[in-house]
Amino acid sequence: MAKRIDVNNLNVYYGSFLAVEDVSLSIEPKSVTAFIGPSGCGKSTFLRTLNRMHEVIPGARVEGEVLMDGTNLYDSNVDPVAVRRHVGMVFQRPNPFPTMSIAENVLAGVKLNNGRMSKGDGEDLVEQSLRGANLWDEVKDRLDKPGSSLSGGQQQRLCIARAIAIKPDVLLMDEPCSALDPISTLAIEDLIQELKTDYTIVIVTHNMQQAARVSEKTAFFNIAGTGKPGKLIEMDDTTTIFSAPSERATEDYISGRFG
Amino acid sequence: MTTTDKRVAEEVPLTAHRRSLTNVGFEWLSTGAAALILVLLAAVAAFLLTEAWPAITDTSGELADKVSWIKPEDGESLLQVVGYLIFGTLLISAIALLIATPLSIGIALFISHYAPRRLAAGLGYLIDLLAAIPSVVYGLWGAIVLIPVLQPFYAWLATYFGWIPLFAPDPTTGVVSPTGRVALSAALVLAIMIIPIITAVTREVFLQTPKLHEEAALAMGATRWEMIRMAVFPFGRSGIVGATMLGLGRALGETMAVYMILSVGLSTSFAILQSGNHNTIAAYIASQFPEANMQGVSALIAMGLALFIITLLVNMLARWIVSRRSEFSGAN
Amino acid sequence: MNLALRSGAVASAAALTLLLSACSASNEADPTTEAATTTDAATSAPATTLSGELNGAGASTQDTAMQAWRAAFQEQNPDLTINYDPVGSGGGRTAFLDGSVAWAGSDAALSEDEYALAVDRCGADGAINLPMYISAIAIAFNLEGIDTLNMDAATVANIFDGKITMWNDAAIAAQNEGVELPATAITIVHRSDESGTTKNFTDYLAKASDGAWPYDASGDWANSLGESGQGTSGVKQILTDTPGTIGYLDSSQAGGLGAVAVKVGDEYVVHSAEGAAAAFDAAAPAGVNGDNDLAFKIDRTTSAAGAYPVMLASYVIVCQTYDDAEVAANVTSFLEYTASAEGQTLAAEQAGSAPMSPALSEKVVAILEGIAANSGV
Repeated sequence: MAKRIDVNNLNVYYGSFLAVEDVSLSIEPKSVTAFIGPSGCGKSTFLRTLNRMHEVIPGARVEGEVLMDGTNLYDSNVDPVAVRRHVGMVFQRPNPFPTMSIAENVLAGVKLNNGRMSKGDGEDLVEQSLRGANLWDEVKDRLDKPGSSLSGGQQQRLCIARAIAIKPDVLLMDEPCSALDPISTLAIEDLIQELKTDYTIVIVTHNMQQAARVSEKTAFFNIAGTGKPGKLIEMDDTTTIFSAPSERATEDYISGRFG
Repeated sequence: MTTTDKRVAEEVPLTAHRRSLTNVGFEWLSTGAAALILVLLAAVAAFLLTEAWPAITDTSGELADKVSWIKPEDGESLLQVVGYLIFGTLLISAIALLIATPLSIGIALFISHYAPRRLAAGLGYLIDLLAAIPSVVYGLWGAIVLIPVLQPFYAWLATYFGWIPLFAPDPTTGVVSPTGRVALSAALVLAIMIIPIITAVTREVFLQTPKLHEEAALAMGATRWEMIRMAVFPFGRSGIVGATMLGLGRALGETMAVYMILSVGLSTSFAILQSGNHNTIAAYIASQFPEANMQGVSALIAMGLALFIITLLVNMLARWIVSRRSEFSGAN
Repeated sequence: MNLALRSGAVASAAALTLLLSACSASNEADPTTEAATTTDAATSAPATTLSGELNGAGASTQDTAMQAWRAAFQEQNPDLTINYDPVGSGGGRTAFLDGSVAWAGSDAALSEDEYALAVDRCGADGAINLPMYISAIAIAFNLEGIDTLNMDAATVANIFDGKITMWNDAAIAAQNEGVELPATAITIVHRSDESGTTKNFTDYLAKASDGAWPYDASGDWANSLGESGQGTSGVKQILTDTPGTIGYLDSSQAGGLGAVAVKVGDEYVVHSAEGAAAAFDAAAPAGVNGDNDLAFKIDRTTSAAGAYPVMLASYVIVCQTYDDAEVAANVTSFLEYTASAEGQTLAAEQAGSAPMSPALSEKVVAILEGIAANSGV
C-alpha cells in the first residue's frame, strides 16, 4: 500500500514566476519525511506538487517528474483527480465539511470513489478510520453530529480519518498542527507515529522540534530572497540534519541564527 | 516604537470616551433605521387593512353589486376571485422559479468556478446589467418578440405532450392559444427577469465558499463537479434559498410583464398553454384600478393585502427551510 | 475620518427625515386637502381673466382629444395651466366627488349614489353630465385579403361568446355572399382591463343581439374565452400580429385591419365618425338632475339611416355651481371651447372622434354658460 516517491529535477511555476527550482529527492515508503524551512521557501508549494493540488491555482505548472513507484504523476495520461485519490492530504487548518455529520465526513471521500456501499460496510469503515485516527472513543456516541462541533484538535484528527478512509498510498500533511494547542499537537504526533506503519507520510512543519520528534528524514528548503525561487538545500536523516548538517544555511536555520 | 506607544497611553486617560458623540449618534442612527423598517411595514399593513376592511367585512352582497368584476350571477364572491388570482400568481411564479433557479445556479457556478477569470468578470457585469432593465421593457420584448417565436413551440408541445394536463390544448378548439399569450409565456419572461437576481446573489455566495472546504474535497480526489456538490452547494444552500426567495418575491409582485403578456382570465386550470385562464394579483390590481369605483378600490386593496400576506408566508417558509439545519450551516 | 463620519451621519439623518415625511404624507394624504390648496391658490388671482391652474381627471378615452384641446386652449390663454390626469372613468369620478379636481371625464354618467355625493361636493344643485366626446367602436378582424364582413348583432354576439368558432361558419357566410371565407379558427380578442370601450361594446351586444349575448353590459369582459390585451394598444397589437383574430377597439385605432359592417335596420354600416354621431343623435335623454343633465341612453337597436350604434359617448361631469369664481370661469370657458364646433373639429382631426351635431354642441355650450360661482359662499 505505502509507496515511495522519487522527484527528479522539479521546477514549479506560477505563470512565468519560478517558485521552486530544481528539486530532486526521494521519499521512502512507511516512513515520515519532514520538510522544514523559513516561510515562503516553497516547501508547501512543493508538497502540493506531490498530489497536484498546486493546480488549483490558475497558471500553476511544473517541469520535471514525480515518480510514485516508478509512475510519473505528470504523465500526459495521468488524471490529477486519480492522483489525489492515491495521495491524501491534511491541511494547515482543520477543514471538515460543516454540513456533514462526523460519520458523513469520514465517508465523504469513499463515496466519491466507489459510489454506494452497504450501511454495515460504511459503519465498519467509519469505526476503523476513526480508530485509526485515535478519535473513535471521543466521538462514537455522536457520529451524527456535525463535524464542526468538535474541538480543533478533534477536527484535525477527523480530517486525518477522512484522508485514511480512502486508503491512500501516501499521506501529505501541510503544517497539520500549526492551528492546534500543545496537547492536541501531541495527540497528532502520536498518531503520525502509528500511521507510518501503514503509510508513506510527508509533513511540512514550522516547528523544528516536531520535525525532530516525528520524522526519519528531514529536507531543508530555503530561499535566497524575495522574488527568488525556493530551493532544496539538503536532505538527510533527521538526526544528521539536527546534529551535523552539511550545509551552513541549514545549521544557521536550525540553531536559530537564521536571517 | 515603544516610546511613542507610551506617550499616547499617557495622554489618553482611562476614563476618556473618545468620539463618544459620533458613537452614540451612529448607534441611534442605525437603531432608528432598523426601527423605521418596522414602522414602514406596519404602516403598509395598516393601510392595506383599513382600506380593505369594507370589502373584507361586506356580507350584504352590496360589494358584488357595486364591483363589476365580481359576478354573483356566476356564483362568484370576492373571496373566489381572490382565490383564482392567488392560484394564478402562485402557478406562474412557481413555473418561473422552476425555470430560473437551475439556470441561475448554472450561470452562477460557471462564473464562480468554471469560467476563466476575465470571461467571468465580463459575464458577471452583463448579468448585473440585465437586472437593471425595467420590467416594462421585458414585458414589451416578451409581447412583441418572444411570444411569436414561442407560439409554434407551444403548438408542438401540445401536439406531442398534450396528454400532460399542463400542456393540454384548448378542449373546444383542440389547439393552443394562437397568440402565445399564455401563462407559460408570462412565466418564461418572469424567469428571464429573475435570473439576473438569483444569479447575482448565488454567484456571490458561491464565491464565498471557503477555499479550505474546496481544497478538502479536491484533495480527496473529487472532480470539479463533485467538489461543487460537496463543498460549494452545502455552503451556499441558505444563500441559494435566499436568492430564490428574492426572485420569487419579484415574480410574485411583478406587474408590468404579466400585464402586457398574458391573455387574462380566472380559473384554477393547470393548462398553461391555454389563454384566458390565469391572471396574477398584481397585474389584476393594475388593470382594474383605473376604472374602479370606491367599493372596487377597497376590493382591490383587499387583494393587495392577500399578496402581502402570501409574500410574508413565503419568506417565513424560506427562513424555516434555512434554519431547519442551522446546526449544520457551518456558521460557527 | 472623523469628518467623513460626521457628514455621513448628517446625510443619513437627512435621508431619514425625508423618508419619515414621505411616510407620513402617504399616510395622511387626503385628496380634499390637496383640492383645498389648489382652490386657495386660485382665489388670490383676479377672476376676470383666465389664469391659474385647472385640474381635471378621468377617462383615458378622452385623453388624446383632451391633449389637443388643452394645447389649443392654453395657446389662447397663456396664463392658464390645464391638467388632465387620464386615471380612468372611475378614478376621475372619485377625484371629482372628493373635490381633488374641478371636473371629471367619464365614459359613464354618474350613478345614483354619486349624484347624492355630488350634492356634498357641489352644493344643492349637484353635478351634471355633459357629452363631450363621441367615438365609434370598430369591430376589427385580421383575415388576409378581406376588408369588410357583414354581420348582424347576433352573429357578432355568437362569435364573441364562442358559439361561432370558424370563419367559414354558415352564419357568417350567409351574410357575405361572394366572399371567400377561410376555414380558420376564430380567435376573439378583448380588453384585459376594465374599460368604457368594453362596456359600450357589450351594451350593444346585450341590447341588439336578441338574446344571443347572455350577459349584461359590463366594463369587464364577461366570459373566459379568447385572448386579452391591455388597453386599446394591447388589443390592436394582438389583432395586427395574429391572423384569424377578431376584436373591438376605438375607431381611430382600427386602420389597417378588416372591419365588420354591422346590421342597422336593413343596411350594413361600417364604423365611422358620422355614423357614431348619427347614433348619438338618436339616443334618448337619461339625465336625472334636471334639464341641464345631458346623460343619454344610446339606442343600440336604432334603425336610423347611417347610424352606427357600436359607439361610446364620453361625458364631462361638472358642478352646476362652483364655490370659487375663478374655478367656475376656468372650467366653463375651457369646456365651452371643447364643446364648440371648433373644439369638436379639432378632436375629430387629432383623435378620430365624431363631432357632436351643431344642435347638441350649442346646447352644451349654453348649459356651460349658465354655470356660475356660488356667490353666497
